[in-house]
Amino acid sequence: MERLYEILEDIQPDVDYATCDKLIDAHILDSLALLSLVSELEEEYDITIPTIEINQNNFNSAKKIMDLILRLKEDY
Amino acid sequence: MQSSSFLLAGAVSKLSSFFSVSYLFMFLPVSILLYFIAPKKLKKYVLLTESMLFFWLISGKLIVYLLFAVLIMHYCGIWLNSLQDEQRRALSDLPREERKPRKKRFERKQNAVVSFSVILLIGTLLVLKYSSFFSTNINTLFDALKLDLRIPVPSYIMPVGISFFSLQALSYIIDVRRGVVKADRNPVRLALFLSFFPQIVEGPIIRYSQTAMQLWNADRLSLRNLKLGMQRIMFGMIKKMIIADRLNPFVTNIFDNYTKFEGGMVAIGAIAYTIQLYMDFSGSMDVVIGTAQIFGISLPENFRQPFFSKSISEFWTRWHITLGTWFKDYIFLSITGSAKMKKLTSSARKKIGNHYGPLLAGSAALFCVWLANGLWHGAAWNYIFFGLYHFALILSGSLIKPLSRKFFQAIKIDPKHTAYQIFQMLRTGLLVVIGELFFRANGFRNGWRMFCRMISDFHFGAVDGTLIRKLGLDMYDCIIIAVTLLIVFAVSILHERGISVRATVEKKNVAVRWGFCYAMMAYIIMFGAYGIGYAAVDPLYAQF
Amino acid sequence: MKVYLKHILHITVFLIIFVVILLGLSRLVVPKNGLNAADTDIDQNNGIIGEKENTIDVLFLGDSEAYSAFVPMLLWEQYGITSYCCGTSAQTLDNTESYLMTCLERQTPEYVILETDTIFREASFDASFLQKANMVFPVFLYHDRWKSICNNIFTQKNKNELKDYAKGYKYTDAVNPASVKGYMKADKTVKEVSALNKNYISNINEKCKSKGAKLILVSTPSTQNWDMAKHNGITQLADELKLEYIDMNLLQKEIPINWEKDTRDKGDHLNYAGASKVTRYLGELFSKNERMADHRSDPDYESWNRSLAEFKKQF
Repeated sequence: MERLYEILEDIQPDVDYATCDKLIDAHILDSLALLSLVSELEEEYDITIPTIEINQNNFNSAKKIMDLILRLKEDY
Repeated sequence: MQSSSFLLAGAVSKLSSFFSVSYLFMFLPVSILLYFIAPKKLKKYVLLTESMLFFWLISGKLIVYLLFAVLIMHYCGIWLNSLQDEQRRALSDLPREERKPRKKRFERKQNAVVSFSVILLIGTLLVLKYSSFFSTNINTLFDALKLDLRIPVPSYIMPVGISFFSLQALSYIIDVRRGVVKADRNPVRLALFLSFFPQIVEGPIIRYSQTAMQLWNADRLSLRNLKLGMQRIMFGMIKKMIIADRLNPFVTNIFDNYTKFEGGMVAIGAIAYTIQLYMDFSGSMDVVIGTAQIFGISLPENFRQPFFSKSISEFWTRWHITLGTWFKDYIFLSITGSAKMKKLTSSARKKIGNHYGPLLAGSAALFCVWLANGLWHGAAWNYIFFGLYHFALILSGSLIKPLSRKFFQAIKIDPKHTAYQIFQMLRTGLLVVIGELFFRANGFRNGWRMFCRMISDFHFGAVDGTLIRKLGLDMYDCIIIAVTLLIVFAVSILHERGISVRATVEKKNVAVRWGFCYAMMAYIIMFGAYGIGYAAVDPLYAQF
Repeated sequence: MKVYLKHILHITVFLIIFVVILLGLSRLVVPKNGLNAADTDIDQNNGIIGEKENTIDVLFLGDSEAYSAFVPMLLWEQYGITSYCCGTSAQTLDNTESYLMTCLERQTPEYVILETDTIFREASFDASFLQKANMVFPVFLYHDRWKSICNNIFTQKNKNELKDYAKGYKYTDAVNPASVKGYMKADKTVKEVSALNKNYISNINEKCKSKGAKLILVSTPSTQNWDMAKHNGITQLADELKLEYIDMNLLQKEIPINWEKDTRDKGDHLNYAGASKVTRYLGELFSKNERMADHRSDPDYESWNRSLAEFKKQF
């Protein structure tokens, strides 16, 4: 989880990722930021994030992102 | 004899405006009544019939294009599903090592089906909408090259809403391809999803997973939905009939005669147009969503207080939302999600860092999105410019981000401070207004000249009563516009805070609830910009 | 069932109160006799409401052709005939009918002159519907008068007799010559008047007759707007409804329009020079009627002399 916070901080700093659950809704991460994030997560966790998973449900909070990562690691 | 000729003369053509008498006081009440008396099991078919009738009343025989789109959705969807089933069966029989190449072949087949549907759906749209623009420009090119060639410039009549339903149909097919929805074997349900009359003319662009089953489970009318829906419709009418229609002669005058005005007036014209556009479009959406609500159908929002945006990138998540999400989900994500682009991104990240690396694939995808967005709005160079203008703004915003962060840290300004946020909103508003200037201008050349005039000649000449009057607005009009804008602004703030005005009023007693409705109705009737005073203007007439 | 009955009762009561509110608003905005400047700002034709009862001899109706070709002040100056021009840009017959009805409430004109350009303009469905709604709830027609009411409350503007000195005519001396190529060239085709518009004309005629006014259809000279096909269409209409029709485009000897000098916009509309010729022709026609008195020395019509003075001063 700490590593995830680091990645997020690097892409969009000055956000409290522990508590924020509106990353997409409040436009904290825009499409280009998401693009960076997806690319880095795929590399870091050795997973492939299919297009349909790139949505509000999976990316609105750090916890949801982590859930996605774990789920994709299992499927693979 | 009188009433029948009354009905036929012009009633039909007026139907495509939601604010016409034909729609609000004839088509809609009759539709609601028929829906009401139909038995529950048949209500969905009543909706379908009404939607088909609505389409036919506006575009007549061109309804074949709509039916064609439904057919493509139906067959391509089933085809994709059967390919996917085949794929699953074939892969489960194979050992792990051999799966990848077989999978690739199936994927390619599925992609071919999607491409096929794109050619049919988007191809039709391209030919109908863009062939005259294309041919005209080819001819201009031939002239420039001094070639004595000329190709014919075709001109086609387009069915209503084709720009919307083509995208909607394609979204279903791509969703089936991605496994987001299962193919629907019921073409009637698909037809209802595509043609549902409130959203066929101007959107919102809906996804199959959002409304197909809602529509199919069409249920009894509820008085509550009827009330809430009507209130929403009335709010839309306030925005459109009181503000947008009032500003229209003023805006038209300035855009048609900008050479007669100084830069300051052109700027005011651009701002007025932006307000007019927002009130008109969001007001229409209020009518659309309110109408759907009457039938118990919930449609997605298309606007979310766009002028509270702090950046252009955020603006497009609040303005014409369903168009933005369509482009994001089906163009941006498709391009950036492709294997080649992913490889590009990861190798770029290694060379130029985490922030700038993904921008290579990202900007390529963004360019396609914004070129498409510009073109989607119309077949003209100023629309293309509009799209690329926003592309440039969003891209440069992203490029500057790390630098601007350092800048603010250096000068010790907290970007979360309210004053700065207000500055950001105003700045975004200004950039939007400039974009809309080009959007509305009579061609790119005029747009450019208007922009230059605004910059170089920015001052206000004699702004007195007669000038404003000549432009179609008197002092009272301005007061009404200001008051109504304040009301809309107040409602926007409440909505931004998550407070729904209608929900609050619902809880009050009868006097408040009915008073609220009567107040809106009286406001529309008294201050709406309709009637003799707002008819077409002969230039001589306006001077008096 | 019981729930539905309750709902229907609910809705019915709501609608009844709404109707009461509409009637109340209508009472509020319908103009009484006293008018002020803001009323003519909203719709310059409201000026006719301010005219003294039973003093108008001729009413002109129509679109921009009407307010460009008929000069009430000229009729007054030369023949002592009082008139008012209720022409509006792009007027459609539903508006025409409304203006006629407004006028006939307090006036008993001898003639009602309808410029025929309007007859070929299709009334929009919305506008027609609104006009019918207006008859029950005038608030739809007069809703803009909230501006005058505010004016009454907040300012001290007096009655606007002098503002209205042109009586509906729009003056211009701009000159923009027209070409007469193909003007009124022979054509046997008939441009039909739509059934809906024919209906309007019939109604307008009935209303005129009921108030003792004679409806005359007039086509003012215009190289751009008029042709033989339209002439034939109106002739057919006039024959059917037994109306008098004067096509000035064919009276080139009696109304010698000089297309180099008499038009403001290449033959679409006349300027003052052209309008004078048209008005003088009609003046001659009207004065032949014994019932048309020359009011020039009548003290009751003093305000017309004042208006004339103002008119001359301005133009």
